Amino acid sequence: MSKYGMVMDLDRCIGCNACVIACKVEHNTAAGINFTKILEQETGTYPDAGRHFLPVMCNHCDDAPCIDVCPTRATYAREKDGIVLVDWDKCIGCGACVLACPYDQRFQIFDERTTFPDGTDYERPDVNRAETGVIAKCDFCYHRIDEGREPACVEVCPTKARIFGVVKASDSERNINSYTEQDRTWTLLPEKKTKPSVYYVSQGEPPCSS
Amino acid sequence: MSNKPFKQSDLSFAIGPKFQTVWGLREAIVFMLEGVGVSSFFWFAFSDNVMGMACALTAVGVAVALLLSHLGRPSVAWRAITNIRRSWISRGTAAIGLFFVLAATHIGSLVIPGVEFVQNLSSPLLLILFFAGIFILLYPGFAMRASAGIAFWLNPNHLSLSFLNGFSSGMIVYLAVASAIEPQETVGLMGDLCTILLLVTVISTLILTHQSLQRDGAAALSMRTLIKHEPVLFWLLALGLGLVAPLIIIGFDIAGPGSIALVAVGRIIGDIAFRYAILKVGAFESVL
Repeated sequence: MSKYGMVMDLDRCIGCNACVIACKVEHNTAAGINFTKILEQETGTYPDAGRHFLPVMCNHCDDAPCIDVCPTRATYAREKDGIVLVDWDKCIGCGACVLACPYDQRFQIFDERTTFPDGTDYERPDVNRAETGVIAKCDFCYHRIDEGREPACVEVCPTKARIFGVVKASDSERNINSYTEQDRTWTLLPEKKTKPSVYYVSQGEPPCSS
Repeated sequence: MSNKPFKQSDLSFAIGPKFQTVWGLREAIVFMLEGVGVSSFFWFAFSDNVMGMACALTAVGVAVALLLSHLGRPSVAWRAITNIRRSWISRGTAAIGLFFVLAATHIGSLVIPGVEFVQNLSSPLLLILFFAGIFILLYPGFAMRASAGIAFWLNPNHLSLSFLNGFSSGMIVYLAVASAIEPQETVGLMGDLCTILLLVTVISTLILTHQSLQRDGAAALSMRTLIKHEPVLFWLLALGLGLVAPLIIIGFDIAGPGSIALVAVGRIIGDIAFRYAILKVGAFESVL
């Protein structure tokens, strides 16, 4: 099995939110639902003030608590690449996975309407949309990956701050070993022991508490 | 196309810990009804009070109905029992279903004449019913502890508190009914048992408070929020009305038969308040 992962190079992220918009367009998510976000923190005081950006999304964890907690097996990790997905035919919308995700990256769809309330058609009608009531989240744009393309957020990033590829692959052209094997790489909330597939790299101190 | 305003999630881009909004008052009422229903069913079963058992089972039924209304897709709710091997929610759902069927069968065997084969099965059936009931009393604690995103809920004391709250509430409800029917015989020994249960519940709550405050991050934040910002819910209703008042009234035997019904009402309100309070203050850990 080749395990897909993503690296967020925080030194390159400029907080433009292009990835957030690309994700919304790709998945046609309902208003208020963002499968990826850029958290922003201001530090220090003038003249040593700084801004830090932290892109967050589903971490597609190896030991995903959302999989264990799901009473219907709607949440599962795809066997061939470890992408954590939700089968909307099985999901009953109980919300257990929302509470199990330490990263708060699962969302219940309360309103099917998208950002075009007047009914304007959506650019990607071929991509399945979640029904009202189910739980949705980042799916690493598996429909694009299956076509040999990169996730929408990666493709659109103007500074190449998001790097997508195979984790710990020896012979793959798309591996991200050069990032994940660095000392300056970390994951969010490592104390939760979920083994995330989303890694962060930066020259400075991690902006996150862990 | 609907014209109602969009439900926007204002906090989605905010940094810092975030309080969960998935479980709230409805789930607190569900947990309370399950606890009271199961616990009082046992007490009514021991005293062969068929009407009491039927009412207790109705409470469990109402809990199931409320639980269904909480789901995003209740039409496929049956799927909730398909992951018993790994999911505590699935196990709890199966236990509630099992309890409901067995309890209804037991009541049926008592009221329908000529159902000998069920009456013959009565002892093993009651045993299975008993274990299913114990599991349901513990189940809210298991469900909370499975929620890895909410640090405050991972405290093992939630298991004992789920059990103690449900068991004591059901017992007081039974006590209120029984004391109205046979005032002299019931309050004595059961009152003492009730007092011990309430006392243990208070001690468990204090242990939970202390342990949570000792921790870092979201767990401590949840407990601090509970103590400082939820005075009515936590201090007045959950602890005052739901625990301390019943403890004093029953413990010092200063209640007449009628006032035990009031104590039961207070206990139920306190039970809901406590469960709601701990659900409400559940917070996700901050990543930034």
